[in-house]
Amino acid sequence: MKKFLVLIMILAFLFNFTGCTQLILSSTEIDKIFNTRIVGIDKLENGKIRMTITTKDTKPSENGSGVSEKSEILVSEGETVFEAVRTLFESSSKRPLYGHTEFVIIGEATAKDGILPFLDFVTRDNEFRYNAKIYIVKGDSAFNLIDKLSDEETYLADKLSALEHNSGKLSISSQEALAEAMYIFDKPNISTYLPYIEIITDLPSVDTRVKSNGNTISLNGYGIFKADKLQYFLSSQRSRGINWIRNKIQSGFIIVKGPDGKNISMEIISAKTSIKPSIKKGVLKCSVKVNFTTNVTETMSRKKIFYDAEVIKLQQQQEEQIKKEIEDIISYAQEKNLDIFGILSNFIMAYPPMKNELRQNWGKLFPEVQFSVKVDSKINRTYFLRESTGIR
Amino acid sequence: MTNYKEVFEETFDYTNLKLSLENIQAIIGSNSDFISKSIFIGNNRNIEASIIYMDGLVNLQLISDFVVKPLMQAEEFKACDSETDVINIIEQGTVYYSNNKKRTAINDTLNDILTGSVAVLLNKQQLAFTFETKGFEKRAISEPKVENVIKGAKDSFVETIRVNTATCRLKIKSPNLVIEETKVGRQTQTTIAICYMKNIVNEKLLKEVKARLNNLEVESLITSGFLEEFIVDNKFSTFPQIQYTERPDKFCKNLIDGRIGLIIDGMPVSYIIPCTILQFLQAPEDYSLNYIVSSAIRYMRFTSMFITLLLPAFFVSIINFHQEMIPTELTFSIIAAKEGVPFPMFVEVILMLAAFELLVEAGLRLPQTIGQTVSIVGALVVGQSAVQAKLLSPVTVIVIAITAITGFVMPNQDFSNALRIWRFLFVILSCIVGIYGLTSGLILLLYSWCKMDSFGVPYLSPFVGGEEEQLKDTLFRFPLFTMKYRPSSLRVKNKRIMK
Repeated sequence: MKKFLVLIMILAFLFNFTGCTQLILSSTEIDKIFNTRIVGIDKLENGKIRMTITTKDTKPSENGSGVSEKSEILVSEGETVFEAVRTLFESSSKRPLYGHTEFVIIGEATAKDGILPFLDFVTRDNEFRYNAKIYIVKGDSAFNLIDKLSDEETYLADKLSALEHNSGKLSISSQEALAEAMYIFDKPNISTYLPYIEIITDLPSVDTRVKSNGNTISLNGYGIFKADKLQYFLSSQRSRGINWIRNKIQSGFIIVKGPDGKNISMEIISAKTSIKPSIKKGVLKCSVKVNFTTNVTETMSRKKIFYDAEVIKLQQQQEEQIKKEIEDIISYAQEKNLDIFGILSNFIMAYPPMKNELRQNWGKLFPEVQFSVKVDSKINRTYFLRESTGIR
Repeated sequence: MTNYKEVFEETFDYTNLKLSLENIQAIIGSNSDFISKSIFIGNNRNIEASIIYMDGLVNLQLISDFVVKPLMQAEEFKACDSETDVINIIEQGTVYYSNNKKRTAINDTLNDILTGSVAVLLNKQQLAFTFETKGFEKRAISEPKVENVIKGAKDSFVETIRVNTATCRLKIKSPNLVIEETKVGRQTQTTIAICYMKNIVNEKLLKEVKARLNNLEVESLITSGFLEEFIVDNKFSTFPQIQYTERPDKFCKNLIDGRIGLIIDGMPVSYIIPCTILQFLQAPEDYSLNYIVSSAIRYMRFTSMFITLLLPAFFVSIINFHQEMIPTELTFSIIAAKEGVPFPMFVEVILMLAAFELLVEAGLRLPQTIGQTVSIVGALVVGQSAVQAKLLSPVTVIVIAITAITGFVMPNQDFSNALRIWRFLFVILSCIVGIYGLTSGLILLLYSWCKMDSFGVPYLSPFVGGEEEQLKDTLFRFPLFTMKYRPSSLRVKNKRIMK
């Protein structure tokens, strides 16, 4: 019994070292928290920082059988992000909790100014998760995006989650977690790319369920950074090029032509890219080998296509397309001198003794790297049909 | 062997009295169930004897047919001239009764009469013959009420010790099964049968059990608490340290494993010594089902133990302190459900836990005929109405319901009750300092478990002390053919079960 009491005293004493300064005060009732899912950060023209946070306000519906949801937005301004965060308490009856923040959204203007100063608080604070995703808003501010996409029908975070989930179907965008982005920002000579959100206002026939205040959003590609400043927005085709080299292709489509010039759709089933850097006689070379498999999902051609010679032609067509995509983004990156593929890391891993030399001169070396792209593909299956109905 | 004689003599200190009808009548004659009547042996008016018994304890038919009738009508007795002749003839077995004893001390005679024998007292000779004619009403062996199994024996212990020992003998037909008896309780003189396998049992353990039973200074042994609370090692622990069972098959299995069993007269349960925490998580059914199935069930039972112990506390701590640990969508559901409920979450949890304990207690006390009322009141009032009236959030109800259901999975009620007490402690710690409180509580619990032992066997055995062999019957039940040794913590004579 005496030992038991001693143990209790030790545990009570240890409590002093836990860092819990406010014992019972730190307990918060769950309905008194503002459960932030999206944090938007913008730099205003007057130099202040605007912080926009949003949550889903859930209430039991009138008949008690379901839950009514609507977006709730809080906005505050301050000289620093932290000031803005603390100022939020003035306008909110609830305590903002950042533990559930899934998306950190940065406005285009802010991103062009350099985003690292704004992300310092987000990465330093203990509540934020490192697996929160970062997005740039193309052509608008984070506040506007959140404001335009929030009404009683739509909740931006749900919409973004759904888009993220589906992004692998096209492979023109991807999710970039805070931790990964910060890791690349920390590396000199390598450029970061972050997916951007585009607000689409003129889609007359869009389904009302995904259209909020007449707007909807799409993830169309990447914005490329030099250091921490946003430089360019890439088209969806070039963005897929990055995903090919970065080995991030999950699925996607390729359209090739049949014998009669009609379209045939190919679905990418699997893809694997390997990068082999080499230095020969002072020349940096990099071979990019891509292997992918496709299924024929649709043919508009009215000719027979499933015989050896034609299948080989189709394979060649899709290989050429992908090769073109990859070569296009490589030449673009070399032209702008932005190593968005992280090729430097590949060279350093292959030639560790040359680490310092490569790092110091990468700005000069990267545009000179000789890339060779080799694409191999295989057409695998045709689903339920072989030849289309009516073709004998 | 025992010192029960001392106890006995202290209670009935009549050793100086001579054995006579007058003295017996003076001691127990005022009882309404005391019967004594005089007969003349062999119809000889010179030889008078008294028939003494306690009504209700004896079978009157047996007395009439096998004791009184021969004494009165047998030719041998008719030829007797003196009481000495009668004594000789009875000793020669003319009253052909298998279980008779010749008594010369009043203590022994009284003891026999009070345990259901009839005494034939020859007053002048100060001598009595007692014939065991037990014939009191006893309950038939019925199906076990608590420890039911689908595949397995359907018998259970009853209140009569002799029936219970016989049941064990029927299951273990080995000369090595020893059933020793001792008496406990100064007033009740309750018989306790100590059962063990003499070729297996650890002698030290046996000695310890006997010593503890002999040192029991209790007045009565009518409820089990008098035994349990007096012989366990850790008297301040909420956890049971002696296992009870109403199943003879489970009892016998434990004897064969090398444990010691206690059968108490008047109780339809038996006790198994020593006991470890593992035994409270093993159910008899485990060994009759397929080992893969019973492993899954066993694993579920272990998980249930932790759920019933920790879930409310974990819920309170993450809801109040660590909201970021809840999946995002679930957070929104919980917030929506909590909307409009005036109480803090931990108050809700404690209220619900208290309500649940009250319902359980009320269900136990209510007569079976109106027992259903409790479930209706429980389901409608606590469940539905309280949620609709915004006194409780539905999430709390679900959490407490899961806690309750997992609590009922425990095969042993004593163990389940102990978990209930600790559960409250955990909730209180959690609502003060969150996960830290919960962890502290767990450390305290683990510490108390580690400290405990039962008759020298660690309570956490076989999870402590390197008993790899026994681990085969813990979280998962391995096939029986792989379990080749008895528990090593029991230090038995014969460790191997099979080759």
